[in-house]
Amino acid sequence: MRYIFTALRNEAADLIRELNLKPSDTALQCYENDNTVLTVTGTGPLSAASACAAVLFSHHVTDRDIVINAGIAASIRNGRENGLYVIHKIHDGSSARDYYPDLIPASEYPEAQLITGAKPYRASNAAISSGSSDATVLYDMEGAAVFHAASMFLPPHRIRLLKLVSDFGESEHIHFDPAWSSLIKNAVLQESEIMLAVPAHPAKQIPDCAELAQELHATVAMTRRLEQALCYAELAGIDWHAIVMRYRAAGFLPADHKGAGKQILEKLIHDIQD
Amino acid sequence: MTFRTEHFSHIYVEEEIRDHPMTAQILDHFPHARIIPIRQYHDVFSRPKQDYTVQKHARNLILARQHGTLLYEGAPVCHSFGHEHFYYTSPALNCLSDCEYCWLKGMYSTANTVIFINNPDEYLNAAVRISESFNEEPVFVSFSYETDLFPLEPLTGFLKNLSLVMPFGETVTAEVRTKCASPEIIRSLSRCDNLVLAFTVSPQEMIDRYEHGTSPLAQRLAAVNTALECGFPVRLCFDPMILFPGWRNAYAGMLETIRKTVDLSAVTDFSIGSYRQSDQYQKRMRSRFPDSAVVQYPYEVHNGYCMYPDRLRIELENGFRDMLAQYTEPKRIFLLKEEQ
Repeated sequence: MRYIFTALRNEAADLIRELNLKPSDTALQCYENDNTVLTVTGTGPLSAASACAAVLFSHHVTDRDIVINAGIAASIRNGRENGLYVIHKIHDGSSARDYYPDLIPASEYPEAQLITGAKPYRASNAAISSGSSDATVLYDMEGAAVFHAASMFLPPHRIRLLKLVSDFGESEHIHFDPAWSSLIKNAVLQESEIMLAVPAHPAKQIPDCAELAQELHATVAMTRRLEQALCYAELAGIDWHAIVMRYRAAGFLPADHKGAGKQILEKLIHDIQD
Repeated sequence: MTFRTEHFSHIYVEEEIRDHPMTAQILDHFPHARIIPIRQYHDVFSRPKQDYTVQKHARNLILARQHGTLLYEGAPVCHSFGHEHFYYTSPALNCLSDCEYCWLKGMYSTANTVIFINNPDEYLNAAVRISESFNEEPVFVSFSYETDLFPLEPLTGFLKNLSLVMPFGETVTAEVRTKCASPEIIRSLSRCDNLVLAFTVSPQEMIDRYEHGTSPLAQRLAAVNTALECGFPVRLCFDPMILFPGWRNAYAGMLETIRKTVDLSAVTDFSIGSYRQSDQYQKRMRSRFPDSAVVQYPYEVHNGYCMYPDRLRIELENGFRDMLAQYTEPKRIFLLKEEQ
């Protein structure tokens, strides 16, 4: 599943159209289809963080999912007008905290740093972070908030920020160019495709041993030990089924009671360890 | 994985050491890397929910400066080689290789590597001060506790500089341990009696199974011979010893190969130790590496450490010790249990 967060409805317009997203019946401005949830958070870090946390929590996000925050940003330094950037460092102007997405896999877009503030950018209210003067530095009002909230749920390579340079902080009012929505759509679709190509962290394969546990009269703790031993046996290519069959043929299984079951469990683990 | 990745595409540099000559020297090796300024390395290294298995396909480098205490007391489950005062230090964190059993994977949640921009004499001076506090008694310092410095040497030159300053710390013995066979690096070091070059040697079957990205046994043994030719004190570390199908023959075969390749009488000493791991780290590793047999083995827990059952541990360690003792003096063989 991909979760997309934009501050403005305009930023999301082409994505909603292209992906045929339908409004969902929630208090938030969400649009969904089978594999995408797009949320228009409203502007500012509080709106962004609360919407992001609420959506990811309510959807029971897993580490197979991705989060993309996309939208317009002002360029503080070196940003190209209408240029799209993927963010490798986020500085939260309010808390002075820094965040670092993992750009794995690599992005096709040029990279930039982002400063997130609570107020619209004016040259006077953004402290430019240190770094080489050829670094591109952008400013928005949501990036740090989305990253902070999403970090509670996902690893840093599953969260990506895409920012389009809309202005240079010279004016209070920004006229939203409809072409921006298309650029944002293309970038989100391209980046989400490569992000989703990264396989999720493999889950531990616990062998089905319910029947054996029952035969051993196993407690919860005994069952955990049994599962660990069988998990190793399968990874090491040890045929634990054959061992169990042997025990059954010898009359060790099923055990008469829990105490006997415990002894047989220890013998089984012993045989597997060797 | 089929997606596009690249090692050290991003290098995070603490602002404090941005203009340090060592920083410039390292960055020169990566002209295309993106340099990202950071305030402190933990902001990147210790981020929550990082995924080692993904990051290992695209490791990043962090350059930082180590402050405060530079030396720490060694853990009781590590060899001290008869030294009463055993310390370790970490000029870098994390390895470029990928040993499945490595305890660092339980301690850290990242595949990224930190290199500290500290000069070797800072560590040596700290060790000398400790020795002075013990009336000039000898101090043993492990420099490879949380990394293998050899693969990093082309970037840092740390080992070469360490070998140059070690003669000024007569009461200090330093050990640098490696699974990287690089005769060039060894030859670049300045010979000194109190710098022990320690080589972890494992059966080739174990290297193939679990020690990904490390040098093959034959190359490690060639490096051992280079170190001996250069006059360094050399230590062979059979540590950790790991159980795997056919381990008895594999360890016996490895010893035979070593005996034929290396003049064991010239080796300073030997350490033997089977797998042991903090219970807490083992739990994390079992969750992070569900497909690794060595991680998922049903170890027994003794005093907070996961280890093999006594019957197997004794057969593994003592059995190998007895075989090794046929070719060298027993007093030069260090078994962890006996040290403790």
